Amino acid sequence: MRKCIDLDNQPGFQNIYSPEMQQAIDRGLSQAQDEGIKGFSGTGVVNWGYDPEEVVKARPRIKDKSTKPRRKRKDFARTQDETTLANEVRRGFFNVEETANPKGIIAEQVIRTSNVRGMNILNSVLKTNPLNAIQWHGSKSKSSFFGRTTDRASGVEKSMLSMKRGDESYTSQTARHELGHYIDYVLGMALSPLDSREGTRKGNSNFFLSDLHSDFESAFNYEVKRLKLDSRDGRREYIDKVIKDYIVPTQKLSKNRVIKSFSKVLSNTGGMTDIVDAMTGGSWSLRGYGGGHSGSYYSLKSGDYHGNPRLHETFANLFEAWSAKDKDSWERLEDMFPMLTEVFDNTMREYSGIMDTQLNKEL
Amino acid sequence: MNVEEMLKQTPLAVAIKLHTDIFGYPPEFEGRVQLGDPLIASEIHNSIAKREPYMKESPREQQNEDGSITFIDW
Repeated sequence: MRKCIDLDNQPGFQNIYSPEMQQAIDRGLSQAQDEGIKGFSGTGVVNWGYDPEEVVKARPRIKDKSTKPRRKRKDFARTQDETTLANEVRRGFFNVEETANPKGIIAEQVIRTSNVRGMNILNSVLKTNPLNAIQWHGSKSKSSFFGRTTDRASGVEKSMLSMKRGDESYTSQTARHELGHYIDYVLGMALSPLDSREGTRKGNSNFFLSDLHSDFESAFNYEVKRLKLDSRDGRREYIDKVIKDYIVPTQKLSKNRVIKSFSKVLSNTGGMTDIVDAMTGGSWSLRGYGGGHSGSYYSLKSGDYHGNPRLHETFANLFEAWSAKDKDSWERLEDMFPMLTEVFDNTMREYSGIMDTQLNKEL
Repeated sequence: MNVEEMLKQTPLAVAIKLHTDIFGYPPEFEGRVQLGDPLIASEIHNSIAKREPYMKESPREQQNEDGSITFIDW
């Protein structure tokens, strides 16, 4: 049995504001009356309280904050088959302030190319001393970097990654390299709080773990001496040996894996040649092959204020290889620098459960 | 072809050699450079075409607009 409703008498009816629906009802009633549909007993006219025909624009919708919670993304979702650790690392990037949306991409690339131990320490560092900002840039002539700036108003130091867009495999390697600097920086704070440092190092966050950890510096110097990199002839001979012993086999290996481009072969050895570049103070770069940093970057003139860039770069490149899913990179470095890699490995294991540091607190 | 020859024939190595031959010294890069990087190689060629040496600095301090300083590791 059809039930008829007298709309005019429905409570709250006059508050209904839906011009399209109202006009549709009006058209329906009018049509029913015109056609004399059987059983229709209404007047064919509804008192809406205003003329819906005159309504052109719908009333703007105003969000009701009291009843409708603002939909805000709470964190990065866990992707299919993603481990809990990987998801924690992803979440570690979530609160980073970003320019041009790089953080999701960087998180994805880092998780995809990192091994468990790499994610473990990155997770610890991100939790205790969050990275503050990541930005993309597209400049051809500039490269990626890790930076820190002290906010003038609050006096709080902020850490940031500036990442150059580019080929995915190179970007992921570079991201792990720059995160290596970030970890070196944070662990430096953990080892030696800013206010406990002495001389030019007091309150100076440019000194990282690689500057402050005496075992690391000793191992670096030991390898430099062992490989005779403190003499020009020694540096020349060693670079020749690196090409013969490490790049040639990598090329053969890569050919077997049907990697066509020689640049792909070189990217497999990037971290290694960068360490050679740092240990030789830029002699690799002077060969003219490209790669590494310009010689001026390795100048030790301002080491009392900026820390030692040779140690910083070595640490970042060791982390890049140590944290890589690809085991070849780290095994190659273990073969080349047994003492340094052992000290690095021990240090990373020691600091995987790092304590709180002074970062992100007022200085 | 041996690896040393291949290293010398990457786009970046060719650009570095050309720059060194013309100006008498190699280009200076800003920050970390990838072996064989073709993008930077094209920048060097553009610079050579303008008869200007490619000399980018890698300062470890950058002054920001608000007066603060960013310390950098590349």
